Amino acid sequence: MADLGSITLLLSLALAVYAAIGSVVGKWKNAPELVISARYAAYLTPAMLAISTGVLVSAFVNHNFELRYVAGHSNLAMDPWLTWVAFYAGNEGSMLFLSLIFSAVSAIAIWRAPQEVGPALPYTTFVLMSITVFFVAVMMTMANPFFELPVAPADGQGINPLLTHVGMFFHPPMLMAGLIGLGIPFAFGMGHLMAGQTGDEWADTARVWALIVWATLTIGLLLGAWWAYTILGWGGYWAWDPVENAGLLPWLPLTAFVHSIMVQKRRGMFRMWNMALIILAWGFAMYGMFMNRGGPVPSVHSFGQSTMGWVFLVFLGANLLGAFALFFWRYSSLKSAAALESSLSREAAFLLNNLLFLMIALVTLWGVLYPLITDVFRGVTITVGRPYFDVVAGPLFLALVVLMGIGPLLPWRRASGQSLFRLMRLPIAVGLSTAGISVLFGATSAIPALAFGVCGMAATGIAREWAKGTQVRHNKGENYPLAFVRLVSSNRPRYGGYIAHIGIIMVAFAATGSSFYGVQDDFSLAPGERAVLGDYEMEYIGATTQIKSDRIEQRADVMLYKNGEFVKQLQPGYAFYPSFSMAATRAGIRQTPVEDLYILASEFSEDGRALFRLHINPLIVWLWLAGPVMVFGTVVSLWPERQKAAVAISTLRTPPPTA
Amino acid sequence: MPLAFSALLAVIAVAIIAIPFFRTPKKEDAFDPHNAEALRSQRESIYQALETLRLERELGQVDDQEYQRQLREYRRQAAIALQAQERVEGDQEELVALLEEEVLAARARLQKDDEQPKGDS
Repeated sequence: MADLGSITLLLSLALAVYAAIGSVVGKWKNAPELVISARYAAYLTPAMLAISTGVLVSAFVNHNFELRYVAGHSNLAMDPWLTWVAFYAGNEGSMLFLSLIFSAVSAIAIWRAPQEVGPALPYTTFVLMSITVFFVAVMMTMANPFFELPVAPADGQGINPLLTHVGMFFHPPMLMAGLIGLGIPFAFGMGHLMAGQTGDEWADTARVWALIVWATLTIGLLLGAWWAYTILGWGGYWAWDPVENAGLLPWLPLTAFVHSIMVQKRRGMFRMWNMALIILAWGFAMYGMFMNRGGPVPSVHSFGQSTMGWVFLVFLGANLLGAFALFFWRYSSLKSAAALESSLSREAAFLLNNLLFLMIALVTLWGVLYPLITDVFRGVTITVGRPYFDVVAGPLFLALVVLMGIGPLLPWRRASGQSLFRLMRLPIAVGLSTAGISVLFGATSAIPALAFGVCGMAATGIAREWAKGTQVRHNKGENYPLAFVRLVSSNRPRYGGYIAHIGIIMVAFAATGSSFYGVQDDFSLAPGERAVLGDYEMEYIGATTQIKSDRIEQRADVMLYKNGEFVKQLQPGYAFYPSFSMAATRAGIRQTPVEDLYILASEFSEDGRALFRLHINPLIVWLWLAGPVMVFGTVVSLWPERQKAAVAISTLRTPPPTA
Repeated sequence: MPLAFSALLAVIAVAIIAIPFFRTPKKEDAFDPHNAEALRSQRESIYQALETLRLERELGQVDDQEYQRQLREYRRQAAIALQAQERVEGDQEELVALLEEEVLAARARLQKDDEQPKGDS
């Protein structure tokens, strides 16, 4: 069966090569049959990779330890439901996953490409298939999942215990799909440049794919934060780890892109910006691959034994070189026909948005590269930790939230200062009130009070627009619920975006609360003893030890009280995996909309004593709730809209409505 | 068995990618700025902009003067787009009419040939 896996990998590589070359040669030679043949090859590539994937999964299910990859990432004791995780747990499997996902999504992108990108589609196909060729070729030569051992072991090594968390079913595939998915809008942009189309034909398609990738990457990042929070045992969710940053870096220009492309779609502006942003986003995604696979900085995320980092570095360099060469080749024809009419306009807000995201990306990149630079040039590694990112990136993120509050109130093209001030009065008032309330609730520092105030202002700006729009429709005869639904339905990109913005405000709200108001303390307790933190009291009842086939689990039974009343029984603990010399924690968490009480238990001694770390983490739950909100906003944004002709024609004919 | 199955997969793949060489492919759609699809897309953009302008006016984000200015500009753009569309549709109608004439003329010639007595061998 391994032979079948290897052969289908080879077939998929051959098909992808043919698709890439056939597309571009067919276009040059004006041979439509060759272009279409190449397109069919692009459709067949994921089919072959799906067969390869089926072979690998079958090998896991049947415990075929002849395959080095299966032996290294599973064992006889592994629960069958972990097969999905084991599939992409290692370098080889994750490369196969990436190749399968990318080739499948590429096939869909090519198949569903609208007519206006038709002339550029052969070039887009070339870029998509070239990326596929890279991943499949690297996999086959440097990380072949079907490599056979000379002697099959009786049992496998088992799966990394950190990957047995439920979050691992979703975080890695979502993150990998998001990173590799960036290749789709990138390919449409590059195809557009290669074809010499310098108008806005690619804007719609690129926007759709960019939004899908954005939602996927956002969920991937949030799931990673959730996994870190529940299993890594430090009570936090984002450590500005170099590889975490490598996942954040492409998200930043991508978020700028999904906003900026709206300006190109609407006004034909920001053409150069959008090309540069999508190139940067893809470049950062490849940088993330480099970091994860033999990159210079070790991390809990890395495929630590990989030596293919340099290959990804070369690929990254080639992509950036080629992309920017194309960009500068077509530079003069990328200039927009329209100009910025006013600094008080939605276009100006999006321009500032681009600049802020770019600045955050640069400071984050600097924080990641600085230790490497000092190591290379000074022979000493200076680590860059959270304080740097908090001080430098924090204010920039806050500025973005301010912009989120002002942007929705700005019209396209031009606003008057007077109308803007009139519209901003309520959000500013609510923002100041929110800041004041946070002071009453214990905010002793200006920064969290400001942050809460900004969140209040931004949320009010969005709510105000919704309320006003609903009221206008209600005044025309619709009841309030119908007016609200039709307001959103008739302007889906706009209001879908606002829903996603609410998700971002929730993230800012949670980050402010947990960053500035978290408390923690350590306690060494014997059974029957109690610990007090804030309003909480924890009673340690006793510990249990379970010896399983692949691990030793120790759990502490604790009773939790708040203000003297019993609230919950929890079982924090950890599991030690001897074959990996690794422990995985399981925090006991009591979650409410206001705060989490987070309990870690470790260092169980023979007399029953255990070491406990208690955290009070305010507002964390809003971080997890933000994910579905942002996805919902993206779905609303992408939902196909009805034709606008009837409404537009009535606008052309009827007198202007008054505010 | 795996080798045989792989060989079968390869044959099927080659057959599928060879299909376009054995049938007349559809002409690659060229992006002609004057073609109906591009104009439809352009029209949609203008209509969307009008819808947004109306919403912004209703929300009080745009004053009367600015509203009128933008409305005039979108009207101009809509007029240009509609004119271009009429031209394309007119061209297409003309083309269809020409083709119909050619077909009728060819049919008439065939009928005439059929009615004429066969030539002596």
